[in-house]
Amino acid sequence: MHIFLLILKRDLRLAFRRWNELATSLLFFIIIASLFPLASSPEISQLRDYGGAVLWISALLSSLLALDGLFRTDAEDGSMEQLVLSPAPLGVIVLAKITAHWIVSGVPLLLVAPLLALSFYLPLEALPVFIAAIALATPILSVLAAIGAALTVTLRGGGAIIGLLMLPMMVPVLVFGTWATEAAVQGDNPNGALLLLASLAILSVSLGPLAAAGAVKVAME
Amino acid sequence: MGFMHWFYSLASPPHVYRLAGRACPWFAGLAGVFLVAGAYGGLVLAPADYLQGDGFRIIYVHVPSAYLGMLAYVLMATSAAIGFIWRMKMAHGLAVSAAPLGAWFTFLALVTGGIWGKPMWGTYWQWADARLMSELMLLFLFLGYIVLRESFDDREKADRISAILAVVGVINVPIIHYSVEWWSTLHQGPTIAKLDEPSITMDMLIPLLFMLIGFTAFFGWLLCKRLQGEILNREKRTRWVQELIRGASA
Amino acid sequence: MYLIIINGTYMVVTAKSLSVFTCYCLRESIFPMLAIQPPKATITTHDSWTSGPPLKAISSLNPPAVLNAESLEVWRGGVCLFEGLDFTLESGQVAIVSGANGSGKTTLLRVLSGMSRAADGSVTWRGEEIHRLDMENRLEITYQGHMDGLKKEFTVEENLQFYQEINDGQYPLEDLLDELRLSPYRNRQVRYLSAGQRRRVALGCMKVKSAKLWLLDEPLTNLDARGAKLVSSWISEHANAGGLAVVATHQRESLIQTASIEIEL
Repeated sequence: MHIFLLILKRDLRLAFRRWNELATSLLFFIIIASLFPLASSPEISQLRDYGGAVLWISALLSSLLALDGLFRTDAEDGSMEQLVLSPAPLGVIVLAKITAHWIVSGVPLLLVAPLLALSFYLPLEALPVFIAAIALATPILSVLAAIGAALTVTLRGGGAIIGLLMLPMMVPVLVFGTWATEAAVQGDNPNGALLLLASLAILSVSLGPLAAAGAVKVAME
Repeated sequence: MGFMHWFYSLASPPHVYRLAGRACPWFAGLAGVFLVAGAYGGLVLAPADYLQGDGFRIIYVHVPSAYLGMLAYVLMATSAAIGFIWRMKMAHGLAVSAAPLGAWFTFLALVTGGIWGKPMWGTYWQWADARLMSELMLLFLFLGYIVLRESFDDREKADRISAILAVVGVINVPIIHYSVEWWSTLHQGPTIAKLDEPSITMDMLIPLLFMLIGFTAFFGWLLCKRLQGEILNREKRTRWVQELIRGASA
Repeated sequence: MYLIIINGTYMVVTAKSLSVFTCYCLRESIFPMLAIQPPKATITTHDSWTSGPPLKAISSLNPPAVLNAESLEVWRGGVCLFEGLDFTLESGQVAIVSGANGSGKTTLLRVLSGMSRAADGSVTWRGEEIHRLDMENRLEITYQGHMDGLKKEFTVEENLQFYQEINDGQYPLEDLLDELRLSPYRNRQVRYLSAGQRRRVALGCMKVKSAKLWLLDEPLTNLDARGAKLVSSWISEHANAGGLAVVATHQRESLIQTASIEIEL
């Protein structure tokens, strides 16, 4: 636990000194979402139709971007070597890093997404469910993107290949998230989707860091 | 102790090479017999379906390919995991050999699914079909594994990292499959007819089973051949491979 | 209906994850059965000379602090770098690893630290396999590679503090900063320091861990004469206090006086 807090504090401090990276992923989210109305039409009926989908896809893509550098900077300056060799369990260290990154990229997304959703004419009654769904989804996305980042940490063209590897795994999040949003919009019960998202969140947060830690250890060999 | 002995003997490349070589003719024989019998039974003997006419016969290729795609992925993930945990190169070699085969069979399933769909839906591709979508995702998972392997220069690192990807994928496959099925039930429009297997009668079922066995044997044969090639490639600097090649070219 | 589906998915998923865990547990139990017999190999180490009597740290509770390498065979990029390497390093001894570029010095150190794996052979610390060390014994080993291992956005002091905290150490930072001649820079971010200064910070981070076994890969790069002398004196002090060190270096002349064993690759 002490190691977890130590690494968490360290990564948060680092993130705040490198705030340009956080801003990038958030802006990416906003920009992608803005491209969709430009690509089709800004009419209310159309926007309401695909607004939820647009936001979810933008969230997926920006999470890939945000976590690309999660392990790469550490691997490049040698601190990853030291962390791998330290006596602390690597799974805990990785979980701490993912948590720090989630606080720094997922939480801003959580704050901005509802605003964007309203701009896509999402009805106000559906907003709490939408926020809940995004809140459950961002940890899952962070963990999956972190696994992708760990697998590709020593590769040069990192970002794009993470997408190829991890986007199929993010499909359930997309499906359940949009299902919850649509159910809320139409007045149906979204609890099924939310519970499924919750169980996915528990599964990924408990097992994902182990996979990422294993990948990092192999990459450092 | 006997099982462990056998298990560890599988770590030796020449042993596995010989094993694969000996298994090949068996697989080929099985494949030949069952494929011919199944094709004859399915294409000629089975009666045309009440609803779908002769179009349904494509299931004799579609269903085995889809099933083999899944089997190949599970096989790939299991052998990659064994290779990772026990550090057996041969297990990784098996995973590497299975991956492109699985990808091709999944692609075949997609194509035959489209051919089946044409008389049903009027188009070759239907986004709403759950089976096609989850097979598409499976294809992406295969391609991801293959691409990731190729990106690494060091073979052992490539093996181990893609093994992690394969294991993460295999845990996700049921989740992806169910979520896509859900999604398609949510969006079933009235004009979209589901690709239901026709109510199976005995004369349709037996050829299907034959085709399944035949396809699996075919897959086994292909796998053995690829595995042999993979072993030769990995061990090309060792003496036994050099002698084998010299002996073959003499 | 939802309940069934959710339970079903969760069961499938937990079953899969349980199988992953059991595989890991199996590995721990099957590993002892995987008895790797090291092949008879040529010996490529040679003892050169000793420098003073090595102090043996004799503890009746712990197994003795000994680094033992047996029949190490190391490959990189499909090529065998060396095979059949045997050596034993005891408390108070220093080993120098020398060799041309690409001969495998870095790879050897990484294998000794447990980060990489040798194709064959074993490395043991205090009698335990290096990959199976528990937390306490792991704390005793430190590895300093080519890269500094410093976060460039952190200040000198923050980097030192981080490594101290992660290893639960209590090293007096003030004295360390003085020794390294970095006191005036303690609050400067590492990205603004020169290469030599960064290397000194990195070595400081190593010292802060108060480890028993030092694995140093080219510690003298980028250092000026004073820095090199400091490192040399640290290594001798460490050895005299009962510590062990394996140092890979091109500049054998500066460190050879402290060495008990020389490994030429």
